[in-house]
Amino acid sequence: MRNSMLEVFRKLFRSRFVRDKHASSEIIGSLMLLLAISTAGVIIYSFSINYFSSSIDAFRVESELDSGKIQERLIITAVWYDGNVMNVTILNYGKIEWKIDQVYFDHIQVSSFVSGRGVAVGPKELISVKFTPPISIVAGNTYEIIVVTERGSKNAIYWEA
Amino acid sequence: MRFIGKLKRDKRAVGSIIGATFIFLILTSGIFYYVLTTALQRKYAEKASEMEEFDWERSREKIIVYRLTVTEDNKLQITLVNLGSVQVEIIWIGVFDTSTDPPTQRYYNVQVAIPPAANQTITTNAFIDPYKNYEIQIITARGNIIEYNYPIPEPWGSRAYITIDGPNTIDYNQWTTYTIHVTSVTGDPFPYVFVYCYVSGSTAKIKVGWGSSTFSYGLTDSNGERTIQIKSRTQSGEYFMLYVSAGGFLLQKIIYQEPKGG
Repeated sequence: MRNSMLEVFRKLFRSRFVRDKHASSEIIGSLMLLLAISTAGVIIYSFSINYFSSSIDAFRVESELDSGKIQERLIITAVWYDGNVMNVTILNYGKIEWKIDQVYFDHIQVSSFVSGRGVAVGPKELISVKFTPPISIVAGNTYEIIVVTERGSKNAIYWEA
Repeated sequence: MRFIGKLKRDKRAVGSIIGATFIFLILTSGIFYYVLTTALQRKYAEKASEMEEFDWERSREKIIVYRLTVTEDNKLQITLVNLGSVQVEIIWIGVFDTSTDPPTQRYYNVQVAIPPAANQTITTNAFIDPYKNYEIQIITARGNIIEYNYPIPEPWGSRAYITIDGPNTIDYNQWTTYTIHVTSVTGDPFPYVFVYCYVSGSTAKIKVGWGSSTFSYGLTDSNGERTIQIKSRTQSGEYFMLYVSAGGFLLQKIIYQEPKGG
């Protein structure tokens, strides 16, 4: 009698244990699936956020540069040379301030600036950019002088020495 | 078994909610991106349009020097006439002493606005030596530059007269002849001198030979004369101005164009 009851109890315990084991697998599987979906979602979302933010940043930078550039206006009003230093006077007749970044003298980049380079020039203001010409000046010859702002706007003049 | 079935249904529901949430977030990011780029593009387009208008106005500026003199205390005095259709703002006057090498260049800041068809006299702080030669530069806020020499070369100075022969009233859409005479104060003609003519009417044109425009320029003939033709075709009639400039001097004449059929 005692043995038979023990046998029944053992059978019952085994079957319940088997059912519980199945249930645990379902829960773990479901959780794993949810975890996988969530991870995939997070990865895709992060990727999309990164893509959008980098695209927005790039577009904003490009747009601000273009917007600035179209508002820039500059014109060379006067040029003189004292035998040593070249002086180019430039007017800002645009809507925003700019800075002279480069000067090309007869297509050669000027490397030796005395003053005026990188100085912020507001609308309706004049700036005098002084530099040493990269080539020797011959009286009577005509030279092309190009001034370029940091945003890339430029103005050119032909100057007769 | 009921427990397992419920769990499967819940699993699907939770998975759908998570997926939908991420899709919603991604779509929201996309819409935000679209709205932002559209706003930036619209801002750029507005600025581009503004600058196009600015450039157009710049091309409409037309000013001439009516008189270039020196005051008793040797200060440069300039009288400018605005012949264009937009208000002109003078911001800088450059005075270059060309008697030195390199020329001494000085810029004087001025803030003078000249409405269309008006004139304005500017007295600068620039000291002028009457015995030296100067190049005078007048710079507008829109970046136009006008250059004149001081003293004005002979035979100009204060010795020229301009007269205009022609009717005060013209018919609708009919070419009418006007003769411009440039003479000295004693009446001697100045042959082969440069004359600039401009009409301010909304439909008025000047013709010399072929083609017509709102302005005309050229030289006087051997008798110091230049002949032009003027036509206007405003249906309701219109008053307009004919400006003639020679040697830094300006003469203006009011002309009335009669209405169509009038």
